[in-house]
Amino acid sequence: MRRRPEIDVVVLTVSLALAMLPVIPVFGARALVAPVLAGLICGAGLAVVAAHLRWGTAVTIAAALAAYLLVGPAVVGDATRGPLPSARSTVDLLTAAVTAWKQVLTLEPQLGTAGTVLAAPFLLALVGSLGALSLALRTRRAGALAALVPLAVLVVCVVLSTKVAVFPVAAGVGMVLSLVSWVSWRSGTLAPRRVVSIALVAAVVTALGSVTAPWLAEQRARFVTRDEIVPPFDPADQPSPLSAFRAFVKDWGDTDLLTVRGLPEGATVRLATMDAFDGVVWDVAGAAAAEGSGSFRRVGSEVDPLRRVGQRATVRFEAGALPFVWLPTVGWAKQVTFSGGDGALRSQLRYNDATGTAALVDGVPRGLEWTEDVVVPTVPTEPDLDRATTARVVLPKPQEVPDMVRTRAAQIAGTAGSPGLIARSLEEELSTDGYFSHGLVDRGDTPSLSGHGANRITDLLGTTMVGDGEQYASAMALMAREMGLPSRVVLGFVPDPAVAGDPAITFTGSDIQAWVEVDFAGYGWVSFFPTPDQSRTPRQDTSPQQAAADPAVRQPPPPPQDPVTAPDDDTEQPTTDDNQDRSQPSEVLLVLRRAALLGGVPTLLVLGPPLLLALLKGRRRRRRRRAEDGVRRVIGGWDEVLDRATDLRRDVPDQATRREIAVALAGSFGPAGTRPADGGRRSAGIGGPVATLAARADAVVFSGRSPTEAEVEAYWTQVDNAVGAMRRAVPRRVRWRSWWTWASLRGAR
Amino acid sequence: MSMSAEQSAWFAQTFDELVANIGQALLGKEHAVRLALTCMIADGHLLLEDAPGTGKTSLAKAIAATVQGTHSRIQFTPDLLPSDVTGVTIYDQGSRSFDFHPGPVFASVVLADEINRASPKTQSALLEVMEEARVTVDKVSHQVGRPFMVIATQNPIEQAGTYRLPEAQLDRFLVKTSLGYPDRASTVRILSGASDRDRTKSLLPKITTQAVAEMSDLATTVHVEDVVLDYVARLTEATREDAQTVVGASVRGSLALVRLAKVWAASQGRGYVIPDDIKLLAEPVLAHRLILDTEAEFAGVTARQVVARVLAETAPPATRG
Repeated sequence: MRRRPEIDVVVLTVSLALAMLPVIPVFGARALVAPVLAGLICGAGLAVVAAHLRWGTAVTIAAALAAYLLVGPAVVGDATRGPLPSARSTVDLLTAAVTAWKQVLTLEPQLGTAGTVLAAPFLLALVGSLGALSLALRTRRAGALAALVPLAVLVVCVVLSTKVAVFPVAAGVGMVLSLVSWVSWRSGTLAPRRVVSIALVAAVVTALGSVTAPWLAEQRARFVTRDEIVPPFDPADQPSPLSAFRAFVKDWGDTDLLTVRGLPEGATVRLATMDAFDGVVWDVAGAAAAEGSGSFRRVGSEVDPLRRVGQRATVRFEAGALPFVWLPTVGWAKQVTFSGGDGALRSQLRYNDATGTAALVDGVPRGLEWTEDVVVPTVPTEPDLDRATTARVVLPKPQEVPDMVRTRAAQIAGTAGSPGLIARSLEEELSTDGYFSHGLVDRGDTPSLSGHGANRITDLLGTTMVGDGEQYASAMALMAREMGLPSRVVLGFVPDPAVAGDPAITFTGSDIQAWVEVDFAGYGWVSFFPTPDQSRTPRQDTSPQQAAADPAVRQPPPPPQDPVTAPDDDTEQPTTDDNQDRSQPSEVLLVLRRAALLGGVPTLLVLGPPLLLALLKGRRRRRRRRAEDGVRRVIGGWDEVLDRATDLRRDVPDQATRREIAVALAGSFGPAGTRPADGGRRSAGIGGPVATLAARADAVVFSGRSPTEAEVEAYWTQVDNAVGAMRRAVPRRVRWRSWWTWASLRGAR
Repeated sequence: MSMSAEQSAWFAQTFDELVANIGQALLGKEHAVRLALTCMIADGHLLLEDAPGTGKTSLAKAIAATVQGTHSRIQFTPDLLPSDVTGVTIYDQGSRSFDFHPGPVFASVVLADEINRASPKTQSALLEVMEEARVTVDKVSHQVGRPFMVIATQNPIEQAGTYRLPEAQLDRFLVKTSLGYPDRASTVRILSGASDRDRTKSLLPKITTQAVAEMSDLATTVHVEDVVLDYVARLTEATREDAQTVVGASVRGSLALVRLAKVWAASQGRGYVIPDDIKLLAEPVLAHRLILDTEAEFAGVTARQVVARVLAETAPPATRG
């Protein structure tokens, strides 16, 4: 085996640095450099010094703690404390060692250098490099296990991080390549002259990694503890806002829901944005969606950090009986200020950058007043829109889209040449050919079913179109998706043209509206209002559609209808029940999972190392005891005695014969009836048993004959007796420590 | 064919009886006695080098007395002639022939006292007998009997008027050891029996020459594992490669070590040699075969120290390899 400590140091430190890349989005690269570098250097330095001076575990841990407390103040930057260690910094850092992890997980990135959160990456780097290098420098065979430390740190960092991956392919391939070559170099199997095969393996690893990594990365959302430890506001838990459309009109039609002051002309009030269609309802996508409307985050005073182009305005709101958690917004909210007690409400505020939707987790209390500094995006002109292309944005794929949508979309917009034209032709077709009805028969409306699921949309598009915003917005959004446009449905209030521009506008339930937004590159989400005018009711407009057509001109044939087939078992039919039962894990399961995670990680950190040691030692013993050759089994028994003695802090002389070792051991444990130098009970004397074991091992090894099975078994029984005698001869603390030490794993026999 | 358990038990028991017998004459020197006996059973010769009055002669005489056989003593002096050692051919007028008159070397145990006082010529006459176990006088060879063991003593102080044994001849001795002064308890016991001027006189023979030869044959059947032989080879190589030696242990030295180790193992009731045997015997067998570098000698390094260091630096075998 080759020993080149400098190579160990370089490879492991670089791997650890790569392993810590995932936390960059959490802290920000600039904030992270100092603590990570300091942690890696301190850890590596300590490991080297500890290995050189042969420090014990306790001394090394004490030195690491001292390094943490001395260097910590300089890199875990809190301006009030200063860079030099002090009593306050010591207390802060010790507290941070425990609390920083929770803060990292619960505070919203980027955390920067605030408070003592940087103690977490500093500690991780320090402990990681100290652990990895101590393993590498101070053990022989188990040294290769040091390669697992960067991987463990990587897992911790991913778990602590956000869903954003930082150079995942480069970092992963780099780590795997360097660690694999390092491990094989350490075990002596890396022959530099096999340069072709090494290069080939490296190339295959790189290629595989590069090809599979993006695929894997895109296939599933990353698991981060952030989501689990404080369950973020999940819009999927809320009922579909759009399905309450009818309730707005019917139940809250005359109720004052919201009063807005200072609403710019042309602006709409947004309640919720829905981009996920499951065949039954349009809904705000859950947190599982990597993008789209799902990512609601906690926000500070500055809500939307992006610079937006548009008309700036300050809008004041006063809530009436708003039935949702959704907090009305206008355009892009730059700042939200609650009047009165700001703190409690602010902690409830969630904002979605992608959709500009805000929510108060516990609902919007009646009478709440707040002010929003907003940017109302400029509406592009029609010619601009006709030339624009759609933006690239990931949206949840709509489920169970009825065929009728596809057919009608093709009919209406099949000839449109650009995304803008498609959207406009859809909007125009629906708003001019459809009829309006809220379906409130008792108020004289034409019958129209509520809902906007697959069946309702099929009905709407298949016969005379009768409906309100709920159905038309759903239909247009679905058709736009069919035509390849990124579309979504917005529920909100649109001021009546009569009152638009008034200093104060009060919205009631009957002002509710649903419309469609399509994302255009360069213009953002542009609104389309496909709902026919309220005056277009079927009764008022009874003239048949076909009468408008010129009978002299040949009309295009009606579109081919899809053959009607009976539903078979293989086709999943959208039903309301399915929506409710979407395999959401039960509450108990969630709590259990969280508890397992919260309890499991610290338990693993505390119990992991001794468990790993016990595992390695147990495996070693089994290997010895089950060796094929009887002679090997006997030698293994003797080695087991020596290793257990080493773990009990007894020196086993090198370059000595078994009898000499037996004498040395008997001396170190003390003769019968004496107390060992390090305390403990009076020794029963291990000289006799160990000397016998040495003599028997010698007899087996050097007599040229093979031991019988019974002899080997008897030998192992004696081994166990001798080990028991040794353990009884030492004080309890030494006995206890023998489980924790890797002393015997360092010098492999 | 290897030694059976009964054979090794008999060997060990006999050996212990011999040690006990000699121990009556030489108090507190069991290890030296064991070494000397081992040397005899291994058909080797013993060189005792020690200060006067440490019991060298007593040991030689006690061994001679314990073995039921002939024994003789040659006191080496500067005027001693080779024929005084080997014997002489004299013309017998009665029979009109030359008759060989065997010298004192024709005995089972020959005590060559103060061998370094004789001239090199006489020394080499003895050394030839030691090596070949026969005396050639006037082209006629005369076999000495078996066992044949020379116990030579020499005095490391009083160098004036002595002829130091050449290194090549030192090689002929299987073992070179020293007795050292007895510990205090043994000294008190010796003093308490001071009236008994020669304790060896009271010793009775305990073993026949034939039995010694049998033990000798039995010892050759002791098993030596290849790794132990390899260990011996590594040790002797290390003495040759050592920076402080000019000449290291020869192959004869390695052979001697293995031969002696076999007897030693048998004397412990074992039918196999273990590395501990080699470690224990390396110094008495190898040290006198080394020639040290002049600088090392000036620095006060001894051959025993070199062997001890080589032993410490060479890992003993732990497995069959």
